[in-house]
Amino acid sequence: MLRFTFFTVALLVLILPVHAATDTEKEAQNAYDTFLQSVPEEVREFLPASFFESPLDESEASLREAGSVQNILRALGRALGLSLGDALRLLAKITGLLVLCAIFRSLAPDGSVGLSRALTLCSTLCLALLLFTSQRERFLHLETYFNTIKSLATAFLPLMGTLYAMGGNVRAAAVNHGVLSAFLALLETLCAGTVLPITGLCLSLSLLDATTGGGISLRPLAGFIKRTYTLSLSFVMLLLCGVLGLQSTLAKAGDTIALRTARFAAGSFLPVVGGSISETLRTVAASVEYLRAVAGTGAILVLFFAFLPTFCSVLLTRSAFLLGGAIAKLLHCDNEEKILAELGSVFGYFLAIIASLFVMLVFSLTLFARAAAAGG
Amino acid sequence: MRLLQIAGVCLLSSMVLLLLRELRPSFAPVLRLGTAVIVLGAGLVLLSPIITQINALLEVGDAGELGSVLLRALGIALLAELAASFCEDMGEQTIARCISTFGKWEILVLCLPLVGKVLELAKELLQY
Repeated sequence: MLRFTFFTVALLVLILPVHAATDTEKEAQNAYDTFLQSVPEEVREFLPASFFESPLDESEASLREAGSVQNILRALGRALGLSLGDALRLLAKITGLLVLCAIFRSLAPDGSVGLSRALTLCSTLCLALLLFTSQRERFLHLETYFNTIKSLATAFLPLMGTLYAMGGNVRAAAVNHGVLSAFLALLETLCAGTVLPITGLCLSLSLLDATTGGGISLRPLAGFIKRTYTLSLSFVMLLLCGVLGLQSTLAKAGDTIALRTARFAAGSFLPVVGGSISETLRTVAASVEYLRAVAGTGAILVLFFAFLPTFCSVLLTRSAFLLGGAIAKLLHCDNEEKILAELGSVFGYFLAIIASLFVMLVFSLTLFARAAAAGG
Repeated sequence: MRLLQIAGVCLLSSMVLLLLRELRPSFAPVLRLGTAVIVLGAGLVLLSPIITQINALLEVGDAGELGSVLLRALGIALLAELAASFCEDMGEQTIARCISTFGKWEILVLCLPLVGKVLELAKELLQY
């Protein structure tokens, strides 16, 4: 009887972890599928079809394909091509307007100072209205990017939690969830709530500055607001990255000790099957590490392909404004040059914010993808 | 070679003006005004294809309305400048200055809707 009881307990001890692992694997697959479903259509275009079709444990090949140099270069080319068209159109429009302003000024009489000032005001107002009105759509595009990043991070959180817990990193899962939830709250309140209002404020200040012909110099004020905001946001991101790195390392160390103690206890106190349990746990840990690496890399790739077109578009638009500013200087259109320089600086501020958000998310995902399972 | 014709008209009227100043000084301003109107009219005829081209370009850049404001402002400035210089030639500095000021005001009045639009845009940007 005693022998039978011992045999049953040993069998249960051997079967249950495997059964539990299979269940959790299914849960991880479901969470991964949910994450993939949340990937927007414009990001899907950059990824191979197999990336969305393969199950989590078999998606290594599709990940290799998606992350290959050829695919990344192709995506970069495509993103640049798409944005380059818009940027060139914008540059052509700016150049056309500047040439018109220059022709307009050359046609204007140069006898009366008052008349020529009134004409300069008229042409500056026209250029400012044209440029600022055409940029409104870009701000909405940026708002969409923030929402995409937020929805992707929200969709990836359950998968992260499941895979952390599968590897026995329960504390790391809690820490990661906490920090990423804080990041998402930050993204929602800071970015969606303040990036665009601050941009609007800076743009309206520069608009008024440009149209008053430098009578009231509001540019330094706009520059101060932008610099302070970018610095504060970078500091918060740095703080979050630091807390995430520190807490994850501590939590993982704690989880590893807890699971190794359990494995040691199983190996030492359960005769015969104890060693097998210990080995099984090691195999489960290795497979969880593999799944984490696959899911983490997949998420980084998805984020990268969401980030790339926006980054290229903002970068090229900024270049178009800066180049337009240089052309304005060439044509002696000083007021117009001020407007273009200000728009270029606003797009530089956008670049800083987009890049800092992306770096924060990639840092968190890299920690996740490279984390060793507690039982490993 | 429209320049030849215009140069001919200008030279001829200058010579006639020299004679008129001696014989009938009161007719000189009339001739001066007539010559200025002819030269300016010829200039506008010359510029009309350029203005049409500029208008077409502004239409392409969705700035047709703004383009018309710009051209009207340019027209006002040219006219005010011409009238002011004519008055200055007749020794009426005060009237010349008045015309310049009036032209400046008219351009500012023309710009008022644009200022309104700029303020509206700034308000819209602040509402993001």
